[in-house]
Amino acid sequence: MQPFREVFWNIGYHYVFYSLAALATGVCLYGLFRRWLLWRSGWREKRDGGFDMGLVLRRIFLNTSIFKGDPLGGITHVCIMWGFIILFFGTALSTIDHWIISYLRGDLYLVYAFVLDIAGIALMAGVALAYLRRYVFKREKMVTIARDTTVLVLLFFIALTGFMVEGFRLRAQTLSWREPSPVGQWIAGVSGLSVPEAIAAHRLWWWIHAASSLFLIAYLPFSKFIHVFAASFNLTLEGMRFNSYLSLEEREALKSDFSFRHLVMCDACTQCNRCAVVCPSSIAKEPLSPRKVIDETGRFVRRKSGFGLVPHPGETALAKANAVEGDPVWFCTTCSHCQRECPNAISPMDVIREIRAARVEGGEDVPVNIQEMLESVYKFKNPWQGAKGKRMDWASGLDVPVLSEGAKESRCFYVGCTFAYDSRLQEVPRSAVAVFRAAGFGFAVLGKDEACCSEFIRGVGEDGLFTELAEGNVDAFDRHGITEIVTPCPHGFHTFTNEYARMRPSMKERRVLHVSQALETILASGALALENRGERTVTFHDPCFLGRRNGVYDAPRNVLKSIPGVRLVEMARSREKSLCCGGGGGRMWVEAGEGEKIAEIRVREAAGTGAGTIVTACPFCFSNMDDAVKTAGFEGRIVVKDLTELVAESLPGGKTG
Amino acid sequence: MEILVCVKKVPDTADAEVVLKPGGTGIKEDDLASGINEWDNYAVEEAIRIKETHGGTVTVATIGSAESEDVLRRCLAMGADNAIMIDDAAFKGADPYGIARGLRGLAGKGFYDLILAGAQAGDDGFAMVGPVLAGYLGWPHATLVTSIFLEGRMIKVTRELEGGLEEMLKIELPAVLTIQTGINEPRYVSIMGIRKVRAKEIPVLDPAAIGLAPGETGVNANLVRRTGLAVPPAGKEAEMIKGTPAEIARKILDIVKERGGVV
Repeated sequence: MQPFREVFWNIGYHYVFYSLAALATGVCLYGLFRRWLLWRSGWREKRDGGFDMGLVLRRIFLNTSIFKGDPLGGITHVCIMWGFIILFFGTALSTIDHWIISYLRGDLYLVYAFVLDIAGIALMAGVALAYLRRYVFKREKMVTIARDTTVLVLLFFIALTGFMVEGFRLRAQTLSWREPSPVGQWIAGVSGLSVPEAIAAHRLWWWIHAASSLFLIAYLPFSKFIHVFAASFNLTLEGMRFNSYLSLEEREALKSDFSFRHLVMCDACTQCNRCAVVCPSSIAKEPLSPRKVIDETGRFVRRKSGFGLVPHPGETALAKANAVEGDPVWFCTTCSHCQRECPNAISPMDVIREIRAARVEGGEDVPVNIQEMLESVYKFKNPWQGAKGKRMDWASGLDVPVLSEGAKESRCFYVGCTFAYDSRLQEVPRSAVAVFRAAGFGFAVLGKDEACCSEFIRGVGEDGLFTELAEGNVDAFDRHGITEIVTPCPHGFHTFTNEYARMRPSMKERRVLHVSQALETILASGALALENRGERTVTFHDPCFLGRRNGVYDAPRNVLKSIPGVRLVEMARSREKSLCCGGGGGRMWVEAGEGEKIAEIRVREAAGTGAGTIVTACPFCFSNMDDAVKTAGFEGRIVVKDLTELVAESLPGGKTG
Repeated sequence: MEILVCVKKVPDTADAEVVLKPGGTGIKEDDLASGINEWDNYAVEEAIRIKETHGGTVTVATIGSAESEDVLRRCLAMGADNAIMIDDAAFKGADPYGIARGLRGLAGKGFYDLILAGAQAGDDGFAMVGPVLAGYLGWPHATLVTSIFLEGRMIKVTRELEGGLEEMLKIELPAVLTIQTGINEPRYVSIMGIRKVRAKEIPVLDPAAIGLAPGETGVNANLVRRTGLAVPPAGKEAEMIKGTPAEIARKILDIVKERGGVV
């Protein structure tokens, strides 16, 4: 006789089982359908184009994003996930075998039985690992809520009872072949039951196993397991490069609070807390936790959607200002570290921005300093209340070509507000001018036509003001026939490259460079012979909007390596793991928390490398860390410099205008 | 409660370098940012808060031209129900009495219980329009108001006095109040909010429509005439403190102590 397994061996009342199975499936489908309706109540995002299907599949099926930074976590998840998938489809295959076409016979059956046993072992091992990590070793980063325990216990119980059923069956049956099921055989051996006892035990535990499995199916969309669908879906949406940018007209017409993708994100979150571990605000013990934002937003949306079959999107419309209570939303620096760390491609930062936008539109619950900054941008076109007539003060005595005064040049040097108005930071554009001139790198500035890039205006949710200023800037670029923009500010660099380009087609034609990229090209061309100004050890602080947001890590480092006498040492948190200075997302204008400031933590880390200079390439990073050097007591031990200044200092004959 | 709020668009001179026009007739406004008069902003916010608590409508009015429309739109976005523009062509060079006559004409066209205005304007700083308007209307008034409580047809207000004193008054409605800054925290007005009221109609009235005779407006009707504008002569030369940061800080502390700044 060929090896095979008789389905429903020893089991009667098949109709009871099938009724329960239909009920469980129905509940599951109902739950998923409700979630689908809820997601669909969100507004539609648009795509940037492109789809890296390989990346999406690797993340979903090989869990590459879970392995990143936590290999044991990856192994745990792969064991549980693949154990679960194989067992689920194994059961489905045997159903097909039973009802449609009989094929699990002979060698195929033996392989089938063996694989399923291994999958069961993997599932139990994964659950055990997860249990150990969560409850025994109590990894600090993990937060545990009741539903974490529920799913682990349920999975373990189902796997265990599955093995018991198998073991009792093998004990009770007399087979002409030996089933390659190590755990089943082992249980059959150690159970010590007589055949009638084994038959009775098999029947009892079969029903318990079936009931708990069916319960899991029914419970799935209402538990943490919703992430099975939502996370896979969200990873796909991210791979398809959906983004939350809307034009003002589209934004005005919105009838719901969050986008489809934002709502999927809330269900995709498994509360793994990896985001809070890297969040600069959480690290500085401020009130913000990205995980909590997603958790609270998810609860808010589900509460608002009610218990009816169809959620009421109208009811939630523009109530999102209250999705997260109080100040936490104003602490986000939009550094995007949470998004990068999230195994499920959730972007708490995007959700926070939506909540901020609703608060700004309501006009209340906006910190006074942020209001004043916004009013300054509205009135003066810069966030520092600088008079319009003083925008070119930084260039006094340099005789810089100014486009608004008739200069003709296709390459625009966009200075940015903070570099233009801050008396210390004015040295940076002055240095850039010196380097450009020494290298014969043609440029002109916008002069009076330059307005705030407004990257952080969008970051705090004032989309109208952002659009107004952005339109003005693009008009100026168009009017002056600009084909290339070079800016020392990563915030301008980011918004020109990403947001402006979504707004106006002419921006897609333009080449936008951060000054570090221009310097890299200039130095690589050999146009400048830099001189040694003494041996120095420096460390580079990656600005979030240059590095993590736009992947420019090497250009500033290559520039540093080209300066004679400069030795670069890296901080533990560098490149994509860089710790934000605490200045993005409007945080330059929000009072910091009570404890150690984010920038102080960063300066301490920089000082720990033994470097005497912190080099950065962003006005906010500069200001924050320059202050922190003083407040954290590192004055005289470490200085902050902009990358461009360092290059200019090494120009032959020193910095000249 | 029907509330009328009188607002004005002014150039922002707080942190700017102000340059006189030749002849001292005015200041150059080309490089200056401009917006709603700061005191008026508090008055609008206060009116909207009263409406939000007690119901009614808020109407904002300005004597201005197309250039001032953005200020009215901003008030609508804050939550005002109506906005009215009185064409300022006939009001060029008008003194506070002329402006008040214009507003009296407007007030006569409505059934207002309360008229709010900023305590003063950031540009000319007369602080007169409110009280003069009350005089023309024969209504009671209070200036420098720092809080308002409604009690039926009476209102209780507090006024800011010198020396940190506060005066409490009970006033019968209708009344005119001029609002001091700090009475509330005005809400932020977003561009999206302004966009949403962009289609709302703002009627423009000429002097005849508010019952003003031609001789009642303009420079010739002025009781107060500006004869000149000048930058005051600079005072004594500033003392430059020299030394290390610590020494400078100590000297500053000494000076502050000497002048009674630290108790």
